[in-house]
Amino acid sequence: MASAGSGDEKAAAAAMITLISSDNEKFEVTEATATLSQTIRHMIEDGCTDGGVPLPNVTSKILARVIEYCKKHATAAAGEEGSSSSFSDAAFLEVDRAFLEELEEFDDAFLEVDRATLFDLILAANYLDIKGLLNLTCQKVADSVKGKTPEQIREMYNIVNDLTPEEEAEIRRETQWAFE
Amino acid sequence: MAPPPALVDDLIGEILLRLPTDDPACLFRAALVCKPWRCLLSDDAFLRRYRAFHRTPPVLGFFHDGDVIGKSLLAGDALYFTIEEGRRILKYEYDMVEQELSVIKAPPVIAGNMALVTAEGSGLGAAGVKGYSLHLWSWQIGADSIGEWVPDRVIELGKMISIGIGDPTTKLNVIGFAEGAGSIFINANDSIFIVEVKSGTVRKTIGKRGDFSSIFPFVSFYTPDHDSTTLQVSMSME
Repeated sequence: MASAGSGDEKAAAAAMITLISSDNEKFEVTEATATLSQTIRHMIEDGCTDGGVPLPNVTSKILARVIEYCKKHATAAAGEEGSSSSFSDAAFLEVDRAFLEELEEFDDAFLEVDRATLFDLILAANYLDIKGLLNLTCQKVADSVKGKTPEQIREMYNIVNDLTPEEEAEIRRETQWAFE
Repeated sequence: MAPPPALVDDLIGEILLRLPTDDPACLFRAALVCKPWRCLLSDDAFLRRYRAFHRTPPVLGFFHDGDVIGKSLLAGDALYFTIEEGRRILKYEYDMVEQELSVIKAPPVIAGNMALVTAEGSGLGAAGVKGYSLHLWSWQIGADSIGEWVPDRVIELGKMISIGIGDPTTKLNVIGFAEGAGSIFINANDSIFIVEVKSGTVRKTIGKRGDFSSIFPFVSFYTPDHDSTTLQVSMSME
């Protein structure tokens, strides 16, 4: 029974999915990696992945990064499942902790991108419905806004100020303390 | 570097949702960025999501229930909240570097029957009713750097509003203050009167609509509003 189970898992892990970027580049990934995306998971469940999964909203440059993220985090998810069955083993917990630290380091390094790439990653994470990636990237933008003036935020993210001077004066007057 | 692609509102929401709760000023600066951000940040649904997302509210985040902490007032460089049903006042001083909390004793009025107001010179003030008079105080720091309540003015309401003077059932209660407009709301015999602090004039707004024990002139400081020039008043009927 146990050996049959692990055989199934192996088969599932070995199943490959082809993702096709907007610029028609093909990426072969394991199902475990691909299913971090809820969008792709649903397609697999519906049996619509034969012949590849076209992702017309994601460029090859961004898809490569997204896959890099998913690969790392799919391994992490597999590691968690493995350790939970033998959680009493202190050595496993130690391995877990080290792995989580490594994952954090990976995430930090992963976010070292320019703003345009970061925004593209947010759009892709949203389209592919990858919760962890969406959280990571959105948090990065939110952190970058912290402590900045409205002018700095607009400049950073190329946002046009469409508030009338009256509206702006009104908000400022009321919330002066936020700008001191 | 190419300009970042435009994000749809949904995704801007995802980002703003993650603004830190330990720095409320951050939400206001973000509200000043542009109209879509401002609309999002003053949207009730968004604010509910924001609270849910951060689960544990920060010490001084969004409070909307008056159970523990009452109404708030921004005066000078601090935010004040009534606590313990108006017996004491919590002062929240904020700057970019640190936050500080301290407690001030309420001015000598009947507990709960007062509101924090903006005093002349934009410092902390309080308004409370004694009998038929509205007393205004301002909080002043003396040379010994000890603060105290100094009586400012007394507005005799008995002469200005049509209520049953001398009737033992007539009770005046201070139930709210609208910042900016400088209006104090007073409940008397199921009617609501608005006292304009600057001019000292009084007008009646609502007659016979029930017992309003608390009024929230709506702009809470943590939720930038859409149109603050219009005074929106919501009633809490308790």
